[in-house]
Amino acid sequence: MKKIILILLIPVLFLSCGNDPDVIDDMGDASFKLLDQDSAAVNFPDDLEGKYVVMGFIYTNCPDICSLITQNLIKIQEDLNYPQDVEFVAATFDPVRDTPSTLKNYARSFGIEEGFTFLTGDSTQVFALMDSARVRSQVSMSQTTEDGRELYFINHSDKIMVLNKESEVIFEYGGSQRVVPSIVVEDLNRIR
Amino acid sequence: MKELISGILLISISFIACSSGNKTEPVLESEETPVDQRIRPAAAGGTSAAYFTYTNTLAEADTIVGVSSSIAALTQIHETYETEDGMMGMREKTNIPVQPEETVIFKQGGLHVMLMQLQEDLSSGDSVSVFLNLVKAGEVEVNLQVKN
Repeated sequence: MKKIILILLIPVLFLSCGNDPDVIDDMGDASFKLLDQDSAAVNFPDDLEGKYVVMGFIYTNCPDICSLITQNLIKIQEDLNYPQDVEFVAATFDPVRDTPSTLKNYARSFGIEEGFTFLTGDSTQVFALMDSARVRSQVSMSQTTEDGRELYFINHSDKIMVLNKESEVIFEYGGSQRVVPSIVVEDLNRIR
Repeated sequence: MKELISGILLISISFIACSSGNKTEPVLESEETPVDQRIRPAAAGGTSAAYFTYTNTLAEADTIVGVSSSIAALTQIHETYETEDGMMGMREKTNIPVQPEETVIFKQGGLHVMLMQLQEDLSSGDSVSVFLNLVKAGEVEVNLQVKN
């Protein structure tokens, strides 16, 4: 009897180590009409379906936390050796200031030339994407320069997430954490 | 009985090993992470941040009361923090006390100098000065290399 129980328990052991992570959210039914850093139209996530997507959320007037998120995306891409089946995406939640050309300059400042998609677009579409991805943002403090220019800053979620080839969100991480690249690489290598 | 206990132990271990889940918990960064003294590259009109350390070499306590730079329309000391509802934000810090021999660390994810509305491109290899303003030590120049 004891042996039978043990034999029955072994499959449970293997099931618990399966390679299919739980689906956190399904973005497959959504479609957001956005622009990339070259002003080319991007239907997200439709245009990226069939690839894994590692995606972070940023705004370019945030040189601290958002630069950590961007650096983590770059590190993941490097550590995976620039994989063809994984797309790397950084979406802004500040579409008014983060135009395609601003995002292009931002990418250049990080030495990013290709293999990365930065997303912006019409505010309605951008914030619909943010709602869908459960990324929160809220204008916090404003500053005025001596010549009268208004600057504002944004409190925001700190997130990198991974979508599978069916555009389902399967992993979420604290985007700026230094340990995140190694965890993402490990997770992706486990499921790919 | 031994076999049953072994089985239960085996399953417990498997769940520990395999149940990292889909969400990572925040991990506190080490306070001993060395500071890479630098200023971030950025395009004209954009925003950059400077990271460095300042040590009070005076025999008395001092206070950092401001920062300035000729390369940005607005230069301030900011602190990155987590809001009560779990978002990340920045807030200005205007008075930072520094005890004798104490080192203030300006680093990513913590205190940092914000340079807003840059007057020119900051490219890797460039050199930039920012000036800390202290009550006792006066104006202190910090020269930094532009790099990622």
